[in-house]
Amino acid sequence: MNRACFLLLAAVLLGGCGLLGPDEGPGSGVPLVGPPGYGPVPVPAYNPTTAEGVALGRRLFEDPLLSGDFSVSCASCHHADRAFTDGLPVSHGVRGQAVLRNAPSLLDVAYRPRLFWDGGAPSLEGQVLAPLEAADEMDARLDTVLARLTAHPAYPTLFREAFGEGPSLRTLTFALAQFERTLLSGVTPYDRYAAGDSAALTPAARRGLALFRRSGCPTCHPAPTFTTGGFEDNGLARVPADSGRGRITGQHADAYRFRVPSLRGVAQTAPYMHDGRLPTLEAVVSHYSRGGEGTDGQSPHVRPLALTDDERADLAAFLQSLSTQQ
Amino acid sequence: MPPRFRFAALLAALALPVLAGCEATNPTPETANLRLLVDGVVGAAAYAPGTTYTVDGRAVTFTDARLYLSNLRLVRADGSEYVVPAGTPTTLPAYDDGGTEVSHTVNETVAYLPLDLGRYEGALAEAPAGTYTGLRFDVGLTGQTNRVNPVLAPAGHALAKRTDFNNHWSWNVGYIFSRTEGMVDLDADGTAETPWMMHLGTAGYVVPVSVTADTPFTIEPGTTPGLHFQVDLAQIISGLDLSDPAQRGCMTMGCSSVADAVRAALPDAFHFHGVHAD
Repeated sequence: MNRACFLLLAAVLLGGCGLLGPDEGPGSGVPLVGPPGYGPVPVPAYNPTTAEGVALGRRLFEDPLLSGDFSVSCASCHHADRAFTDGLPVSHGVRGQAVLRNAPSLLDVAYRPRLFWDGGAPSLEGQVLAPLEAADEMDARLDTVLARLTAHPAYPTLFREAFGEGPSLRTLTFALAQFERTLLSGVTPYDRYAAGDSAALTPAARRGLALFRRSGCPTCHPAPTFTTGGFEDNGLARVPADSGRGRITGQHADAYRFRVPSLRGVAQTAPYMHDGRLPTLEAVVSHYSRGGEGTDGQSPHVRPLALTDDERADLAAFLQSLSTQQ
Repeated sequence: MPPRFRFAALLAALALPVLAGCEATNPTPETANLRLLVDGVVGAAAYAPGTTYTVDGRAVTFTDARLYLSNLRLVRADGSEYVVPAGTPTTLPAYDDGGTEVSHTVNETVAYLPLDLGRYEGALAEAPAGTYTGLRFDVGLTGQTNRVNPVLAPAGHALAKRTDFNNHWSWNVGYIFSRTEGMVDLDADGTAETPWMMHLGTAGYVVPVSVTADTPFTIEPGTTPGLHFQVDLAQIISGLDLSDPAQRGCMTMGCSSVADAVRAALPDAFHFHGVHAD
């Protein structure tokens, strides 16, 4: 075997082992490149990402056929130009109903170990059906949705091309999950700065980064993900109707804790917090400058920072640098 | 016949029945193939979705009534139990406590009872023949069985995601152990017009049930006896005041007092009607 053949064979073998293209998930037919420092995009072996699956998932994501009254799609609350949020304090489902919480960004959702603000769903495939079935979101009966998909002029063929079988709960959730895994934030000005490009951040953003670090923010928002993936009570005034993580675990210690969101794309995801009560990044900075509302159970990491006006502006400038859209 | 041949013939004549008996007692197990039969009732009346009943002085309907029953045990007179296993253990994708995906084998009895569709009839596993005095089981699912990914369970499996009435909370991994919904009459005109719902689930609300038979029942070997229960839907909601909006819409989380009332009422909702023959 000559050298070229050897190298070709090695490439085939190593590629099959996933040792080439470290950002590609196992068995993936679609290259998935995570943000700098994130590592390979997690892809379950039972639902590898394929071009056909992603295309089908994208179409389903945008199709109000999945809602009870044909009025709401996943994209209705997750807009691509808003880092997959909707710009509202809380989202609106069918019949204009206001739901309980702010639409979380879907950027880099493939990396999240637990989904929703309270972490109630452990996987993308497991999460998909929740908004479909929720009476105040898409209010769909699954047998009706499957009947619609089966009777549709295009979907049966698209499902067979992607999965070798027609519409079912499994293929529906798999397609949507495959599409959601492709929603990956890119290289931000911060990433370029962290990689050595000192001009990538403005002076204000550089000052803001230093302030971010010395204020203890990375305790909950460490680079490169800018989230621990955990749950915290960040000192927001409590609303009894929503006890967050505590509703899921039933543990008193988890009451009013919510998932720590990533700060990537944060410039596009206003308003902020699990119920969208803070309208701007400046309001968020003010909240943390005050040290929260001092509620029972507030995380000890949230403490008064007493920031000056200039420091607040610098911190906001740094947060802006965590978005690819400026 | 020469004597040695007579002896051999005698020996053979004596041996043959014994040898035939040896083949027969590869012994036939003294077991029966159990079945489960469950009917919904509302007090003394048979349950039919949409029918108006009087419950606690109010006109009430039950549009759906579905429960999970698991971990069935037969109880003997001495208090010992026979744990009825799953008829066919099934290995399914599930999640551990931390949300990591794992493989889980469901070894215990699991039955999904959609009582709004009529009488439930399902095959269980084998059980030793004998006389029993009662049964024990859980309403709900325990451990990782409650954390199975229902979309990946095979169609027709008790744990498979339903497409008619939801049997699983995608927003908080776990099954709906007891699901009852309907309408209630709040303006006393005899027509039930206001919706109500009660969904019981989560690990803290598995409800143990122990039923003592009126008289000991015998399971005969080689039969397929049906264990017959009735579930009284009126009893399930007996602790609720449906005139209170806070008690008319509960999915366990955030309404623990309502869930507690249903948990307390469930054990008395089950009545064992004995063993039906094949």
